[in-house]
Amino acid sequence: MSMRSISLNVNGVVKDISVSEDTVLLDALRDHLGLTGAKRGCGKGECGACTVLVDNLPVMSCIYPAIKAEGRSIVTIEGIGDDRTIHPVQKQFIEKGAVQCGFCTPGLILSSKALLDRKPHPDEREIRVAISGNLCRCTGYTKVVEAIGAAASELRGQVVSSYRREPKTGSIGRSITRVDSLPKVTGKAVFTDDMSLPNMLFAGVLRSPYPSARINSIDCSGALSHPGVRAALTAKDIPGSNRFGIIVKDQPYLVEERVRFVGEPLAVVAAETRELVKEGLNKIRVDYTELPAVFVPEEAMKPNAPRVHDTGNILHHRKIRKGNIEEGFAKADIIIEKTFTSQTVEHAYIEPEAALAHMDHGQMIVYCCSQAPHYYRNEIASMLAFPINKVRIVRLATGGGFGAKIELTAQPYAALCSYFTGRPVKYVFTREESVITSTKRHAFNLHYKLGATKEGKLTAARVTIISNGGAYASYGPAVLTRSATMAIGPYECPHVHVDAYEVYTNYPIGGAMRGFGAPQMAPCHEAIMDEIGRRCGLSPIEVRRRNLLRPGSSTTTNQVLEHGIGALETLKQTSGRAWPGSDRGAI
Amino acid sequence: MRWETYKVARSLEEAFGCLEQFQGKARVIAGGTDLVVQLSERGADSGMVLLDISSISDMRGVKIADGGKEIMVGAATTMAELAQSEIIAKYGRALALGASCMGAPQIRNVATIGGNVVNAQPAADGTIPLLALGAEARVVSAKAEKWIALEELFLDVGRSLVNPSEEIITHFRFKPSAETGSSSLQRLAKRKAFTLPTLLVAAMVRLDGGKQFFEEVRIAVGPVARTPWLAREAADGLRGSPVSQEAIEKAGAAAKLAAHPRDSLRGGAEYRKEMVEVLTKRAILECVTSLGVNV
Repeated sequence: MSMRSISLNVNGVVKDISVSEDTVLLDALRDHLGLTGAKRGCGKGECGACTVLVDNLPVMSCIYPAIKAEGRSIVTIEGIGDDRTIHPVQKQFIEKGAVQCGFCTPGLILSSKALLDRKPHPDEREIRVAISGNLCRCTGYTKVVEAIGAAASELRGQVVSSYRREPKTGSIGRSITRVDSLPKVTGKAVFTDDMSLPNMLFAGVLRSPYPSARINSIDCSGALSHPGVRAALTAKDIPGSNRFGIIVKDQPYLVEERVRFVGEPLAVVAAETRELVKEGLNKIRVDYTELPAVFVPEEAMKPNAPRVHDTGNILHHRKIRKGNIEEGFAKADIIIEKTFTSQTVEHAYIEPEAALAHMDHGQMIVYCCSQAPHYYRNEIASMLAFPINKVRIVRLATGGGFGAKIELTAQPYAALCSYFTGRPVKYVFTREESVITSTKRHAFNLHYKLGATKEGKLTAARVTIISNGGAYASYGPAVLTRSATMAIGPYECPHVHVDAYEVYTNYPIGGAMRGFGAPQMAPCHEAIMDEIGRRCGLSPIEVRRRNLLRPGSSTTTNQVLEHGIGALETLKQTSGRAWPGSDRGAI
Repeated sequence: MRWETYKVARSLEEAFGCLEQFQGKARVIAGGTDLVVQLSERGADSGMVLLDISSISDMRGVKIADGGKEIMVGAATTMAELAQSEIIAKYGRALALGASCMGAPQIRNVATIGGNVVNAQPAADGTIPLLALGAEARVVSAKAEKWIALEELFLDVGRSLVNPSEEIITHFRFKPSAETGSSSLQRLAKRKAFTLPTLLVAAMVRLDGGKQFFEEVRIAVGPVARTPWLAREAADGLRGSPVSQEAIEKAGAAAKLAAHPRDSLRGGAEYRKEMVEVLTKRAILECVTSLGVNV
C-alpha cells in the first residue's frame, strides 16, 4: 500500500500528513492529527459518533475517504469551542443535562451546530431530524432536543434561563452541573481509544465461528513468523489462572479444549499496527471438531441434552417458598395462568469495549472503560499470577455500559500481551466483536399462576422462570435471584412459590443489564394484574391500589416493610396521567 | 486494505482517461456510503483503484431543461441536495421525499443519486421514485453515450447494465409533473433513520385537464422483486378510468396480486404483500388529493 501526502484544512489550519491511500477521514484526524474528539463507534456509518463537518455539512468520517477531504474545509469538535470560548450548543448541552456518557456528544453537537448555522429557528421536528443520524443510548434525546432549542434561542440573542443555582448549603434538591460535562462537550474527555502510549502495540483476538466444538490444535507459528507480529498467545501461555467469573469461575480467557459459544476467544495476537493484527490472526490455524450444540434452555434441561459444562446444564436453581401455596389457591375466587417469553437484549453502548495495558516498574496498569475496576484488578492479578497490589485498573471515560461493562472484555487480553511483550498494548473491539461477544439481558420463559379473591386481592402466586444463561455464568445467578424476588413486583401476596432456573446453553452469555432481572418480570405481573382487575370489575389503578406493598406488608421473601415504601404514593402521583382525559387511570 | 489507490476526477475527460489507464481495475465511486463500508468489511483485490466522480461539477445539481419539458438531475447530486431542491419538490415530489428518508443526514450529505441507482438495490430510496417518475439515465463511456429508461437498467440485485469500470451515469432526466400531475411516496420502515424500507411505493399520476380521468399512472414498488419493480397491471388499469375510490381500490388490489415480495429481516412476505395494496392506494390517493380532487 503506497503512502500519499495530503493537505487537510482542519479547523481553519492546513496540515500536511502522509497517509496510506485507503485511510478514512476519521483515522486521519485521530491517528495523524491527534484530534480524538470524533469517535469510532461502528466504523460503518451507522452510529454518528464520528460525525465531523465537511464544508459545513455533517458527514460520517469513518466512511469518508481522507483523500476526498482534500481541498475541503473540515471542522471537528475541537474547532468549535474550548473551555474559554465555548459555543452556545456546547454550553446548553451542559446546562440542560444533555451530556451523559459523552461518547456520542461531539457528533451530536456538530450535527446541531450545522443545523443552527442553516436554520436559526428550527422547530422540534427539524431538530429531531438533524440529530437522527447520531445514536445516543443514555439520554433518550429529550434533554438533547431541549439543549439544541435553548442554543438556538441563545444564538438569536435571547436570554436562556439556567437550571443552575449556586448551591448555598450543599447540592441536595438542586440541579448541579455534571463535573465531567465540560471536557465531554469539547471533545477533550479521554476515552480508552483516545489514549496512546509510546512504542504501543495493538491486539486482536481470534474467535470461534462455532457455538460448540472441541479444539484439537491451535497453530500460531504462521502468525509468529509474520512481520510485525510480536506475540501470538493461547491458553497455555497464561501464567496464572485461566478461569474467571464474578460468581462462578467457569469461563476461560482463552479456550483450552472446548468452545461453548460463537465468538469465544481462542488466541490473542499483538502487532505493530491494527492491519498487521488482522493479518496475524488470519495466519493462525485451528483444528476444530464440531460438537452438538443446544440453544433452548428447556432442551438443555433434558437429561440427554448436549452438556455445555461437565457439571451439568442447570447452573442455578433459586427457590422462594412463602406461606402455603395450596392454601393460597384454595382461598382464591379466580385463578389466572399465563405463559410469557422475553427476548435477549443487546446493550449497544456506542463506545466499543477497549483497554490499554502497560507494565510500569513491575506493576500492570490497565486503562479501560469499566463499570467494575476492582473486579478486573482481582481477576487480572490471578491471570498473571501477580499479587493484587501489582495490578492497577484506571477507569477512563466510559461510553455507556448499561451493565455489560461490568464484565471483563478487552482488558485481560491487552494485559496478557503487554506482560509478554513488555510494551504497551491497546485492544479495541470492533462493533461486530462487541455485539457478538458482550453479555446480554437474559431471555426468559416464564409461567405464571396467580390466585385472587373476588375483591381483587392476591392470595397465591406460583411462578416458574427459566433463564437462558448462555455459555457461562457471568452475573446470571444474581440476576436470577432478583427476578425470583421480583416475580410479583411491588405487590403483596401471602402465599408465594417461585422456582427459577438458570440454564447453560451455547447461546451468547447472559449478564448484567439495566434493571438486573426485574424488567423481564414487570410485563408479566402487570398484565395479570390488569386481567384480575377486569375479572373483578376494578379499574387498573384500583386493583393495584388494593395489592401494593405498604408499611406492615411482607415481601415475597417475608421481609416485613416498615417505612419508606413509595408504591402507593407513586400510584397516586401517576394516576390520571397514563390515559389523559379517560377515567381508566383515575383512583 | 480497503483499496489500493484513490483518485478524484475533476472532469469527465479526466475520469475516462483514468478508467482507460487502469484497464478495468478502476471502479467508479461517488459518495461511497455503501461501497466504502463493503470494502472495509471484505477488503479489496490488490491493484484496485477507486475513481471518485462526485466532484465533477457538470454532474452536480438540478435544472429545468429543454424549455421546461424535462428535469435534469446530475448524477453526483447528493440526496440532501435533492431533498432540499425546490425544483424537485415542485416537479418530482416523490424523489424529494425518497431522498429525505434515505439513511441519515450525514449519509444524505455525501450519498449521490447516481450511486443510489447504480447500486441496483430493489428498494433504494432514490431509485423507486425515479422509476415512478419515468426517469432515464444518461450512461456515458469513453466511446459512446446513451439514454436508458430506468426499467431497462437493472439486471439483478446489485447488478445493472452500467459497467462501473468503463461507464458513468452522468445525469437523469424525467418529465416534470404538469398542472394536472403529481407524485408521492409511501415508506414503511421500522425506524425513521438508519433503516432500509420494509416497503417503498412511489406513484406518479397525471389526470386529464378536467381532473376527471387518470391519463397516465406509474407505480414503482420495492422490495418485491430482484430489481426495482413497476406495478404495470395496476397502472394500466387506472389509465383512462375515472378518478374514484373504486378505481384506486382496484389498483391497490392489482398491485398486491402481481407483487412477489420475500421474507427478510425487515419484514415477512405475507405482510409485505398486504402492505403493497395499502401503500399503493395511499400513494395514488395522495397524488390525487394533492391535485385538489376529493374521492
